[in-house]
Amino acid sequence: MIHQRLKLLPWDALEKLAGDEGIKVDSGMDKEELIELIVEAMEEDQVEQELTNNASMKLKERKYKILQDQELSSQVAEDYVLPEEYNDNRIVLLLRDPSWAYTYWDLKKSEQESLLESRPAGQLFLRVYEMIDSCHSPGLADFFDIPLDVSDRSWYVNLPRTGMRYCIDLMVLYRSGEKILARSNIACSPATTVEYAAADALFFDSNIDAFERLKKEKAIPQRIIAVQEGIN
Amino acid sequence: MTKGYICLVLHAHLPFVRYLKYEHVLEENWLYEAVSESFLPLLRMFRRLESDNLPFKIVISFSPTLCAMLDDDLLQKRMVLHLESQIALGEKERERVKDDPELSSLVNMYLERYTRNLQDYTELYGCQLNKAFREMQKRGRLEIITSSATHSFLPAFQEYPRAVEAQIETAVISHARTFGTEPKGFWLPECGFYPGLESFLKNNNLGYFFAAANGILHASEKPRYGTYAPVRCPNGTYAFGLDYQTLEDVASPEKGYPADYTYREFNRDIGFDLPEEYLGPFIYNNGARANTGYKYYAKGLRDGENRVYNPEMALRKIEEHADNYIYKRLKLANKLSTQMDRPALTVNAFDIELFGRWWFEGPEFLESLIRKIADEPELDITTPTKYIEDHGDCQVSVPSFSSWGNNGYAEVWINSKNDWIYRHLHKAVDRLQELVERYPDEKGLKEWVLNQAAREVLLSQSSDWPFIMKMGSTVPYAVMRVKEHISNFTRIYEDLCRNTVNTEWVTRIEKRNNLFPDLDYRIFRSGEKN
Repeated sequence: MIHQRLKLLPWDALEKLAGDEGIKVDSGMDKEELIELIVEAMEEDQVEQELTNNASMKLKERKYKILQDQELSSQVAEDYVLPEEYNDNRIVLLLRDPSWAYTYWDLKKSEQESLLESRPAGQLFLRVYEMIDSCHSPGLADFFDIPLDVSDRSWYVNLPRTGMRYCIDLMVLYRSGEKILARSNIACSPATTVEYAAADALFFDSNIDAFERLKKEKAIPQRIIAVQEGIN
Repeated sequence: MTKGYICLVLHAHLPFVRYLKYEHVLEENWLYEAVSESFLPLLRMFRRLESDNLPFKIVISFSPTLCAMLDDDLLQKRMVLHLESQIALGEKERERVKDDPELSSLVNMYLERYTRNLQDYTELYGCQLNKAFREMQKRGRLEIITSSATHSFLPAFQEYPRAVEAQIETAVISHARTFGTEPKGFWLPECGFYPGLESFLKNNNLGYFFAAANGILHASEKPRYGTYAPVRCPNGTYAFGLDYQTLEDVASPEKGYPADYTYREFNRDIGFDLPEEYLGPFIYNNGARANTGYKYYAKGLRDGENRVYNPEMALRKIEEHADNYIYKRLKLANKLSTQMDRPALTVNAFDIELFGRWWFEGPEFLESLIRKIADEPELDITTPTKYIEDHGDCQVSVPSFSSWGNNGYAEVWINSKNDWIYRHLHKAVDRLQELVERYPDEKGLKEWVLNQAAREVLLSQSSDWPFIMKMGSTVPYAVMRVKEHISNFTRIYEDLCRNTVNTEWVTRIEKRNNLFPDLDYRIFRSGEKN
């Protein structure tokens, strides 16, 4: 059914769908080839969902699945255009799970211009602090840097240790030294292991061992492809 | 003597979907199917239990967006049309399958069901389903609680405390208006919790919430009784952990009871099997097909196989599965009774649409379960409120950051398919707070416009939009909704900056997004309240 509906779409709509699926459209590709690739990618997505979703998410997914194949229209959202970024210096840190945090930032236009003018000397980067306590005291914390391109606007950060507090500075390195452009909130990654003795029968009954097994089977970062591609 | 408690929790939520211009909108089917397949059959089941004087009390959490839709005149009228169209299709089906006794019998079953639905909805309840549930609560059969205003995944707004406060406070106000009582507890959308959230609940007199099992097991103090007893946060709010095993037993589409081959297959609907020209209103303008409610086949079919569903066999299987459920809970309760100073509690929480819509026989399973528990002296059904009254001296601990999503954290709502929304959602909160500071005590036109701005910001924060973007069905709709609400808000923000407001346009968007009539934009006022 999906194959037939794809056939009805014009080339530019297919190209957009292909882009959404991460498919590179070659100039020599014909419509049938492109449709095959899109169908294949959609099927792969479906298999991935089946493998990664737990019982609650599978049920929730069904709630919204009123069609039996994927919705193909990509036109409806085009009435509303949101800006790519805001004219502000800010960085926000969102904890995704104990090992990964998502951070996004905005840079003032003036800041971007001065960065571009100063290139190659001005290098934008993230400094990720592992906090010793809840107070922001970078001098007391361990940190690591992630180099960025001036066009980057977000990043998934791998947090080295669980049960710690993290904070990120958006910084630029000039010849004259480093400058902090924005500082994020602090995110606290939760502990992921429970110290339990064999005598703690209730823990076993509570299926904590099942949880641990589940995590190993379904490795956590399932969607960080864009980030990996972004690493220089 | 009671050795084990079972707390049954049904979570009812749908995002706010309401179109003025179009009468035939695909996404409104979310509501129609939930009402037709789950809410009405469940209400019938509750009434059967009541009339047999069975002791039961179930917790139902109703999200404010769902309540707003159930109360809406326009959607009520469309609901009636939907129920009528199901009956009309059934009449056609009766003619089509008249030479097939098996299918004819099923068509008659569905026709009876949908005719009863229409009668219940229009005559018995006067289209007022919130009132129907409220009456059931008054009679002591339900404990109705609330969820956040637009079902926002609250950990994503941890750094925006006014947004979290606004989501919770708006929900509590909306709940009181709908159900006539203050909610005692709170369903955290997606069970999304982070330490500190309990203070917002306490501020709104919410005595308890539900947390994912991993949130309890990784709590600040190791929970003495695992998930078999709640923990009490230092501020006095109770956290009840969901039971992982019963969720797998009852809800897993592959391994749970609903996967049994005796039960009805959800996906084999005539809406997808029969020719377009036959289906009439169940085909949409773009050629999309939708569920009609007429499903004739049993589960586990291989390609090309047609095994007709047998309702009598399914009902026998229900009894077996309810027995199995009771057996497992009894076994566990007996084992734990030697290790605990109180009966072990298992919290069984499910999306309400599991029962009826996806698992056709689900309401009968619940009914059988409740009847069997009533006959079982060692098991008892309880609610968090009753449990706290009886065993309130719980261990003090705070759950950890957690959700009921994949792997127990936020990866479903924060990933590469949906993470772009947070830049805009957070900015909108910042800007709304800026407006509140600039216009702290507006009256008249400006107040009306600012209230709509707050409404748009709340609507943009629904957890459904990032969820749909991640899962891949109806993605353009979810993208459109986030963009629509952020754009609406931004236009108001910019207009107010310019001191020019297009009242005609604001009236138009207010008519469409008309929920939370009591909303006061000052709810987003900055200031430390916690």
